[in-house]
Amino acid sequence: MYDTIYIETQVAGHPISERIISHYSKANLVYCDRFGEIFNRRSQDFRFQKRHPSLILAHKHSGHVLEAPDGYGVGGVKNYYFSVMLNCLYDCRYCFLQGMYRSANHVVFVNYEDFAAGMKARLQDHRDDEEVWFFSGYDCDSLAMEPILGFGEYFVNLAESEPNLWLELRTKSTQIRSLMARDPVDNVVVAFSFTPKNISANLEHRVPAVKKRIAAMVQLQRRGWKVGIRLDPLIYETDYTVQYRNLLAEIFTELDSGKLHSASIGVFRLPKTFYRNLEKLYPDDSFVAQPFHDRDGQFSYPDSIEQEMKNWCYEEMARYMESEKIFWCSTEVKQQ
Amino acid sequence: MSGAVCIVTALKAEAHPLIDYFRLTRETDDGLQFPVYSNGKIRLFVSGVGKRNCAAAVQCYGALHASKQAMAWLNVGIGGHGTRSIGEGLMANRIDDRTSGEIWYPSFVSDFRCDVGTVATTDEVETNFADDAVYEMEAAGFYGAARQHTRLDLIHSYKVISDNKLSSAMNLTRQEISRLVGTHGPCVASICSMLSNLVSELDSRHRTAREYDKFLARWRFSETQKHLLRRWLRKCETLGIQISVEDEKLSSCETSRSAIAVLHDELTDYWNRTRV
Repeated sequence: MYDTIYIETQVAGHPISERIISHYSKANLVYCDRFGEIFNRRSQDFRFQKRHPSLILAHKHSGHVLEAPDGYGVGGVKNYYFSVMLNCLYDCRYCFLQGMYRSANHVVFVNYEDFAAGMKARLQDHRDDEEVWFFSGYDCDSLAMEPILGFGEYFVNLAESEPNLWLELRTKSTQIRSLMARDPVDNVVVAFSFTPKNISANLEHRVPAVKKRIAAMVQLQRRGWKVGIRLDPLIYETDYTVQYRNLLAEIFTELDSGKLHSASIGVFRLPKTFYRNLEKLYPDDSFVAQPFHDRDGQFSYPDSIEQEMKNWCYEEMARYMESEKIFWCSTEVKQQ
Repeated sequence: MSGAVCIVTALKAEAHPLIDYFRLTRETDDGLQFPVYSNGKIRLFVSGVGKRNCAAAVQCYGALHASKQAMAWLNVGIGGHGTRSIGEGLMANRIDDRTSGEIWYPSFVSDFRCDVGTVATTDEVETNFADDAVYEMEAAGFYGAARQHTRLDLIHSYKVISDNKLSSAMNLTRQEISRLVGTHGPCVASICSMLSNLVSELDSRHRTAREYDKFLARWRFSETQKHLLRRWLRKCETLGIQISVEDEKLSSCETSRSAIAVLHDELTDYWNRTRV
């Protein structure tokens, strides 16, 4: 898939680098000092790169684990997030990454051990009986590249050894083989993001079909894994109630709602500068072109539509599951 | 092929086979110190030897032309390599300026299907070939200057091996240089084609809505208003909202401000229409 892999010389011999490179025997390897020499330079074009991304293997020096913004979480005492990868295999037109970065190349920070150390260090600040959450899937999809990155496998092992470390692997992928091959870990939640199938077909390019994602989620649940549903972002369309009703009906036909760990709901929103970048990249896209409202620097639907959608979706979700397990994702996407 | 691509060579001998291949003709003089050849889509000029000459020529041409429209830039030339055979060609995936220490990484956003490698730019002709790199004298100057005028993803350098440890550059004749570059015409054409497609896409992204010029002709807009007008008309077009200066609502507008207000109302009403 990758023609070119850029490698920071510092991580050239790292076992994760070697594992990744072994999957791409035909790729051209280009060595560099720092990934910033290639990634997110001025005058790079996200849309061009998105079609033909390169891979960059790098070392993350600091900020491995960051505090999640207020309003982000599924009931834990404290919420953190971490990203071993920047950018995503998928191409969702609503994604904030398009507005945040000038480059669509995929950066993988291979020093997983430093992320793990960062997570353990954060745990030291909390009592052993406190649920401390670590969310993955903010700057990338957690499982989309699992066969190559082995990311899920590594951090699930970590969670297994740290009972109060709660890990959310958020994904739109169906790459669950490594999880299916092992016993479930009680403090790991695999959270699947959904939009209704028509919206997904229009806006979520290269993403597995909704039906396949539901099947993967059900398989994991039957294997004993905790799973979650994420309706974030909610996307408005004239018949959104019909579309979301059908989606939830399809999900809950097969999923055991009693065993569902959690659901969260959040409406589409983007910081102004990200949205402006998106407009420049995709002026011909009918989703992007919509006249979103600027509310305190965040572009989103008009307030009336947002409130109506949130309330309606909450009520609809509550028909299937305990409302205590439904969470709002009310955070604003941070501007870096 | 539709978008513009500018090819830069250091030597006339490198340029001649490409001028023939692309059937370029000399453009009329527009005050430049060097002749420019063109077929409308592909332009070519000879910068002279060395990174400073190359950078200066690119700056000069870029300042005159590249700001008017999107353009891709391609440096084509010969170079020496320790182990590669004479006549091989490759695209630079890393350009090292061996004097300043600067490094550039051209990005591959299309499947160019060419061999790739490092290009090392030196100030003097290199005969030692210590590294696995094509040694030449322009690419770093070219890249550093071209990046002032276009997207980084639209700048590339293609080198043909002209000398190696077994065959010195001192033996090269103009005819031999032309012959070597000439055999890579199809490959250069393929690169130009891909770059041209990207440029076209960029042009299409940046185009103004069909009604834009009619608005400008009808009212006087400030620069800020023009910016807003460009954005909003494009939104209307994408969303299928029909806007025309002949519309009743617009034809009665006397000022640019009131015309902008009509556009604003049309867009605001979009959400109401979706809720019908």
